[in-house]
Amino acid sequence: MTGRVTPLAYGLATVIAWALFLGVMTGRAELFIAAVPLVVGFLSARGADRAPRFALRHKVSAERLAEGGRLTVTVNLSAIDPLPLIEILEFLPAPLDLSAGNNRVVLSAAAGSETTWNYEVLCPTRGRFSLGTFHLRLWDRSGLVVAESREVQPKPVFVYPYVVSVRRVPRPLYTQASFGNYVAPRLGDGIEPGDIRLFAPGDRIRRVNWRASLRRGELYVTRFQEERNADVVLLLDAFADSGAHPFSTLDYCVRAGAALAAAYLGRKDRVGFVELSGFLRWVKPATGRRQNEILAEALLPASAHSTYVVPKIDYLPPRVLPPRALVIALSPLLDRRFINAVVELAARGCDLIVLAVSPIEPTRRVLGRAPVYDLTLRVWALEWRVEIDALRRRGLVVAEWQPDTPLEAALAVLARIRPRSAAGR
Amino acid sequence: MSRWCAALPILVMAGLPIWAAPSLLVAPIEGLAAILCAIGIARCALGPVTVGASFAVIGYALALWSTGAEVNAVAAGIFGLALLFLFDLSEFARRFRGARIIGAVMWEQIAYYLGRAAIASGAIAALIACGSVLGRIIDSETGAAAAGLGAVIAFAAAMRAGIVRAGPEDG
Repeated sequence: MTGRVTPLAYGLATVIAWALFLGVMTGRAELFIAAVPLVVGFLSARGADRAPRFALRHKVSAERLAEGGRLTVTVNLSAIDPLPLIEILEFLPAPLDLSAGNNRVVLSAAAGSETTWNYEVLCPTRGRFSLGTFHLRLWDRSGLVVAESREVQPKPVFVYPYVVSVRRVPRPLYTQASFGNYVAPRLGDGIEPGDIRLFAPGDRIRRVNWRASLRRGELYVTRFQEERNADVVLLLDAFADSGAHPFSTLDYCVRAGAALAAAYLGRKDRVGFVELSGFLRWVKPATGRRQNEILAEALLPASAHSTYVVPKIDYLPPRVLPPRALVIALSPLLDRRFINAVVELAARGCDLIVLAVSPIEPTRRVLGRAPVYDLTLRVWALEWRVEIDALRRRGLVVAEWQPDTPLEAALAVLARIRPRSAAGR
Repeated sequence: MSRWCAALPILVMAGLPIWAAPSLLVAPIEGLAAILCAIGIARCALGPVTVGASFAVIGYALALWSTGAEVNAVAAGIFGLALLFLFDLSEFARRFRGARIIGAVMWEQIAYYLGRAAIASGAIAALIACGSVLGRIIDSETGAAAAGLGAVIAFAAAMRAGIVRAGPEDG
């Protein structure tokens, strides 16, 4: 602990000095008498010979929660030595906010006593945060002397993006080898009838197509199309961000990414993730519930970095961006480098969808309502629309998403224009 | 503890010199002192409170010097206690503003302040007794020198108590 004299001591000393000086100068005893309580106050300062012993314990109600969730922090102080007046402040990293109670308390504790208090913290946006940094001040009762220290008991808290349920997602053009939910062009075991052919020895009787057999006078069997899964790669644009947390374009992109990842993983697809910014960060495509956790963890720290570096898609290993994968680019289309990257991917024949998150509303939320802002945003919206039209003219599939509308409404447009099955591919 | 509890010591601190010498010289000084203290409390700043208290002492000295009345030890004691309470209350409110105060901290602190005020009152009584005894033994010139020396010793002792004893060591 570090001890120091507080400004109160200097204030008192100043007034004592004035009283004594004027007492001597005027020769009036009243000023000496008036100084006595102040001198007594000064003499009552009592610094401890050694730091008092106590134990601080800290507990959070949840280590993992979704955006907008609240967690309860419980702090327990066990005093080994008496603590006349202790002030405890637990640091809350931004943007965590206090929703109930107080993270700064003042208490006094007798030797051997225990005090417990709790408070509620609101986690408005995604991220990894560390709670448990305490700033302690041990006050003398007179307020003239204080000892300060810091205690760190790190408690990580993971705030995941809020995942909306998406029932209809864009279907991939290409399927992979593993079992899944998409009707593949390949014939084999399945439930979707694909073709009929003449009966051959070894065919199962239950596959005989009786209607065709009776019409043609020969035995025909039905052939079925296989159900296969697909590879999906979420390409996140972290070059630019517009608006303020938790309603920035990047936040919306991350939420859309989390929702799409959950939806595709629910369809047994392999889902991967690539963050494109000054540096490349990726998660290899995989399937299952564990992959959902991995993707959620990967989406947590996504943030825009100011950089002049132009990363190349070529740097991505083929295992991260498989050749026949559906790539969903999540972007506000504000940075030319990302737009060039998706155009390059489309030019290579990649099955690509751009989910363009409108930056207009997130920016309006920050700017507020004023005629000049309205005009500026309208012009910007027109320019943004021109950008999207330019991409569409190049043959890219672009879905616009206004963040104040449901994500599924933006994806529904894609469900209509993309083929229902991957037949023939 | 509400910071506006310090309004009472301000009233006493500014009112007592005006009561002692209701002159046009003292009243503006005490008014300025009260305003400065009020600003310090409103803005949770110790600086204006210190300056205001210093002005109050200057005004009180001016009031005593201008009237030349008999020594009023009770009024002086109340004035000193008002200054001490003003510092204590404003500083307590400033330090713990916005914090949650758990348990009986407030009552323990009030008991501490009252206990210290009682000790200060006892010290004033002892000082008056010693002063009256010394006044009979020594002449006026030696008395003035003794008062000056006593003031220096008191100030040095207070500084040592408050500043040199600075609490637990590092680590």
